[in-house]
Amino acid sequence: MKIKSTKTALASAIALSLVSATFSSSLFAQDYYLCAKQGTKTMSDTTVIPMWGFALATDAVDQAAGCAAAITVPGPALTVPVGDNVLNIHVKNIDLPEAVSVIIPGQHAPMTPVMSAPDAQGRQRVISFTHVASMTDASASTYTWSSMQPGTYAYQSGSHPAVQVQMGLYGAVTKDAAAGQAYASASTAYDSEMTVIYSEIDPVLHTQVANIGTPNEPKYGSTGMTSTIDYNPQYFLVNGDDSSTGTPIAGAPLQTSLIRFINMGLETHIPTLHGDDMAIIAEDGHAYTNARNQYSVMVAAGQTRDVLFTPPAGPGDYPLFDRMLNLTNKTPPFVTAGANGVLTSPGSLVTVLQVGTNADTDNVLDHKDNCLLEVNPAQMDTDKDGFGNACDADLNNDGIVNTQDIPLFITAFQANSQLVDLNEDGVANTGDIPELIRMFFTEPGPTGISN
Amino acid sequence: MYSLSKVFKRASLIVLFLGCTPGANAAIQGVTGTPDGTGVTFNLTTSTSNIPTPDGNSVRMWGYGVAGSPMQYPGPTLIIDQGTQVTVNLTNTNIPMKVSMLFPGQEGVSATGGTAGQFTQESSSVLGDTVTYTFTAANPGTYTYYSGTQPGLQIEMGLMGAIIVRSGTADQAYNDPSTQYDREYLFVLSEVDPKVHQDVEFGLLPMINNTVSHSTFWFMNGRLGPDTFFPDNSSFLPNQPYGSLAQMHPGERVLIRVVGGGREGHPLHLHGNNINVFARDGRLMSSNGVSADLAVSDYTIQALPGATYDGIWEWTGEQLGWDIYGTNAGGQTHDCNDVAPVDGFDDVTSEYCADHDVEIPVVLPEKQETAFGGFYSGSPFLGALSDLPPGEGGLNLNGGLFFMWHSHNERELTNDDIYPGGMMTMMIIEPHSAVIDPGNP
Repeated sequence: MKIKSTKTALASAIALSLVSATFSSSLFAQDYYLCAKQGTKTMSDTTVIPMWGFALATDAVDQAAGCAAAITVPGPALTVPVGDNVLNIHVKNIDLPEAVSVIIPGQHAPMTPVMSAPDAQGRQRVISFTHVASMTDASASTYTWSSMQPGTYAYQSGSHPAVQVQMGLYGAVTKDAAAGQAYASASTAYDSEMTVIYSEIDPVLHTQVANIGTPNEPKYGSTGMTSTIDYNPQYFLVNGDDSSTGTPIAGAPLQTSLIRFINMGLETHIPTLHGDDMAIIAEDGHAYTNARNQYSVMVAAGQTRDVLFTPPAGPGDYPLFDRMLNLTNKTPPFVTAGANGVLTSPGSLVTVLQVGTNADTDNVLDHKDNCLLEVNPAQMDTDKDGFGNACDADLNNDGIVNTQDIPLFITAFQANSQLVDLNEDGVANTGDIPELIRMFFTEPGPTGISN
Repeated sequence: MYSLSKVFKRASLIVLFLGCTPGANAAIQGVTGTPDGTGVTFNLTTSTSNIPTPDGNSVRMWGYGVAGSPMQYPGPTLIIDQGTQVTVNLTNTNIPMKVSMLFPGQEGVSATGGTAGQFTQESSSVLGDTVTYTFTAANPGTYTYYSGTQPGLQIEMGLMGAIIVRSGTADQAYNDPSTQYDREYLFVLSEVDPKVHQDVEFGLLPMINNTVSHSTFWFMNGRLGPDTFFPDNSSFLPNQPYGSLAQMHPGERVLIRVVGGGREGHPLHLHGNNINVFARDGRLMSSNGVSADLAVSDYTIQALPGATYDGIWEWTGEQLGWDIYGTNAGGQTHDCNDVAPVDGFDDVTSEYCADHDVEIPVVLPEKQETAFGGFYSGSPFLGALSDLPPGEGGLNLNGGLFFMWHSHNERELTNDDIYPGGMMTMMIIEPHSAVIDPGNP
């Protein structure tokens, strides 16, 4: 889950501009250097899936060398700074057997379709919507959008898209109308933003595409699947993660989060929020005249929808899941655990939006934080008293850290008990002694957990 | 329509059908809970049962039910007044997994008891615990509830239902006068992939793969056509208490509430007229939060899973170009009195006066040249019955006009590949003299 505050987004966008901006007439242009490469994705059940994807190069030199970075699926999130009209994406195809390209549906660009060679009857087919980058090319191909409109868009391969998009050649590209404001209307202002990209993986298709060039294995398009008509996805991904157990922070109460939904799968998904409704403000990068308040929003294949989520006062969890119920992967669909033959699933197109304050900025919200003022993301609480180890040297639980706790500390220390792992590094060691001294003559806590 | 009704008659359903109209379908069936001092309490259980399908099959289902009553599909419709504090006590009777409830569209839902699950507190049939959900029904409208425990499996198995939150104004769906209605119907749309239900029945839970769904049954209010025509609480459908047959008089405003209950979208196609859809997900379609100024007129509701839709459907016969009751010379002697209000329609019958006593502009074919359906009264005119050859007609007691309301995904008009069936019902325009609902004639 990509989450960043407006401030950080702006800062990174500015930083990128400084690194890679070139001058085009009198306007700034945003340049990104991408490598199209093969790679893999390891699923939550340890299956390794062959992928094609984009990797972000630090600059043209890194790109020419094949990009030090590995691919990510979805591809790098591209942002165009407010005020920039020109986006250049330079693509070098490192090792993909098919020629690739980049298109942004909904953004204006001159297109130069590539046709296949004529068949016996002289007929030609479009094999790419625009010019391509082939692995035999000496230099990168450049794709330019000279009038970038604000909004949420996806970039994707425009070549053999039925296969190449499914294989992973896509990502988000966004531009704001003003700082902290998605579109022209002031009603689209937000305090924080997150992008939620849905996709699916049919492992058979990926394997057969990867088999191109391997003798005696079924190959997509010839000896294997002949098309995506038999598409049968077995993994469902949120931002490339098929075990979406993550609980992103959607912001503080009464603050507005912009959620950018992008569906790069081949199936429809219907993110449905529980506990509140959302204001749907845009579709395919175009703002609605009037926002629509709904708790569910349909995101068709290839589509983007933007919503504003403004939770009420008070902390809370807001489950957000695909009401098409693509909520489990194929294997293992169920994990048996506990009494009653209780079954749990690994979770798939599931996100729980967390809302609350976060005083110590450790990404554990205050209402769940067992040390409100200590950065303790691991939340260790060995004696299970509601006070995390990081703020609990009160080993005899009498409410104060004093001399009575010292013998207990020594005993636990010698036993190598995590009870005295006060700095949460996983072991009881000398690093914990300064923590004991720091907390001496203080009360444990404060904790955000009531018990 | 012809072949459709033929099939119904061959199935000898005519006797049952005759027994159920008129007065078959009172207003929306549901439960209103027990006053508890601060609001209302619903005591619900979840349990297992089998439901029959018209093709002769029997499908294992899981369902919610009112405590002490059988489980039902869909679960009991919870009917609540706006602003009421709602308590739902959920006890899992015998479903071999933990179960729970989510209430999309309701804000500030708290859950206590049971054990913590992925989304909310859950009830276990082994532990015998009870989960209590509380919330205040802050906004009027049509809502849904469903299990928040492994929803991909449990909603498929039947753990879902509808919620109606009534506005403070009687016979008005939302706090906007344009949502006033004379009569209302609820359609909960869902589907079943029998393979999943078989696996559950055979105890093969760990083998179920919810990435694949091949539905072959498509339900309206938990019933398959033609069971959809039978009255509410039919004794031979003990776990499917909600019928779908709709009836109205000309000129009435009919509120249609639609809930996407399953995991597929369904294009609910309303023959006869457009519907003015003014709410989605229990929220008025509005630019100003006050009036339904963004309402949309359409003849098909694209009902998405988990979403709800509300709209007003009307039928008057206006500008048909002929007298819907037939001419006086034709036998049905009647007047058209448009006195108060002066709106172009008869004050009592809602007949469109501009067409009063206007002949139907075609020469009606002789009966020996006509093929009949079970729904034909023998006359094209509202309230008129006429002779039919032996074995024809018989399903139209009041001389009404029948409009088929159905999923326009045509494969959904089958029961495991047998046509007709599935997601289908009828709206009957009844003559003003016909009693539709004894309590709300």
